[in-house]
Amino acid sequence: MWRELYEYGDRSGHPLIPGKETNQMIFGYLDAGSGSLILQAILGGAAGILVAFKAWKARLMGKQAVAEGEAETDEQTVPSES
Amino acid sequence: MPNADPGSFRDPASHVVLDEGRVIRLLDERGLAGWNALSETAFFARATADGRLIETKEISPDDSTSAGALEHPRIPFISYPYEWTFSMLKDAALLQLDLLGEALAEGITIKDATPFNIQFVSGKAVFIDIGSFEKYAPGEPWIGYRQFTRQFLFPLMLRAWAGLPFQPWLRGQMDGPTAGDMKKILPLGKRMRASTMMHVSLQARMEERMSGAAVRNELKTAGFSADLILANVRKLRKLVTSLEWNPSGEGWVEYQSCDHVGRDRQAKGEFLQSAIDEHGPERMLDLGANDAYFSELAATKGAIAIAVDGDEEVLDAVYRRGSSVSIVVGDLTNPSPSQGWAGLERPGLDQRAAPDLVVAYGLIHHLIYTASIPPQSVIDWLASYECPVVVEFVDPGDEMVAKLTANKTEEELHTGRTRSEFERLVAARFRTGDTRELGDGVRVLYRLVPV
Repeated sequence: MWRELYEYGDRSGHPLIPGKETNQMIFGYLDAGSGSLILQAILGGAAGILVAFKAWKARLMGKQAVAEGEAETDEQTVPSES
Repeated sequence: MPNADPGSFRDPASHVVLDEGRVIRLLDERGLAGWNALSETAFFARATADGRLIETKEISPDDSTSAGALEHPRIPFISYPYEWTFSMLKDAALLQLDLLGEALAEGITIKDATPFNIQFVSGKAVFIDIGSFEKYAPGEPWIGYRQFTRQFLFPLMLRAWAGLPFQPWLRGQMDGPTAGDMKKILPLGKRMRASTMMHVSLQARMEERMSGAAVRNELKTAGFSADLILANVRKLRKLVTSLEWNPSGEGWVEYQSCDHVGRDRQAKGEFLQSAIDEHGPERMLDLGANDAYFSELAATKGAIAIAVDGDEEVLDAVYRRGSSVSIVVGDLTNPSPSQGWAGLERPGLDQRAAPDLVVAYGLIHHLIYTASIPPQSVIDWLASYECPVVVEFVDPGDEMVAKLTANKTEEELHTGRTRSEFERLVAARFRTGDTRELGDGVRVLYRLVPV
């Protein structure tokens, strides 16, 4: 039961392991908190602030790419008037 | 037949089983890889040798489902952060940071940051969860940062900066206060400090804004490195070190200077000494321990002495002077219950203490007169330990009782408070070994043996 919970998330459907769905990294059993993960880069000093900014920007661009992809898909599925 | 430790289940890579007094940690493939990486470091040898890490021996796993197994010595008495004093939690926090810093220097990380992984043995903080160490993967952030703030940093801030005891909070919510909670609690002056703005205000804001976002890959790609964790750890260490608690001194810290305490201490010590000689306890529970004088008496005779008292300030002084006794901050009218997952994860105080001798000096009149516990119920409670009990009876004519009842009428007090009634109640559950009258006879010591 616990393994299921760790791997597939809690009752609200949120994975307890951030990024589990991507399967690209080693994952912890602990919910580290997304905001706290970015924050700890900032807390690492000037170099960390740059890393946090890059990660934040990459995340924004990723979201934008997803949004654009969805928009394209929507356009394709709109029935044409005949 | 090994029994799974009910408090060791969260990490799929490693869990503890108890096998006839032996403490065995079973590892899966990932856990074994972590152990292999850790055991090869100079850090592991050094931290084990100086007692900061629990001793660990690799053994063959008995069950076919485990990839590896480790054996640790048994901790004499397990205590929980909600039973610690301020200085204990502070030392535990510094230990957590130091171990992470030293481990990272050799390519090892700690996958969590909870004080439940730290225990106090002979007055020293020891990290016990060897399964928490694993090889550091380049680009990975410090997964335990948020947990560190919630379970170490914020509780210490509560005491140092808001003057609030952290124990009730950690007992009620073992994950600790959130950054959002702290933002509401800390005084404005403290909230304006740079460190508070980062760890509290900014963390609360970012947690709120980024809930559920996958950011680990982005951090890795952006160039996150162990150096950033080390820089954070260094600054956190400085912050934790700066947190100080200046108690008011209004509690029981001056109790030893009371006339009757100094007068009776030697006689009580001798009386307890004869009980220790008679029963040879392995585990003595000192209820209402104050400055742990009597606990230390038992400890010098080789017993595991557990000193329980409600006054954190007194017990903090006991810890800071390097006492070897086990310390528990707790209200005896509301002892730590069995709690956590399935109500079993963190066993209750009595279950962990399992004493074979109980001493209750200067206590039961406080239970009867201050907490309004019926004398019959107090005797039943002492009998529930099913072991010899050394107890001090205090007559209604005692000066302290007069203070405790200054604003109570006779009708507001339970019956059964006189010495003859006490002895009648006791006789139903115990036989009386020895007795000794102190001073003018208003205080009497009893050695009681269960019938």
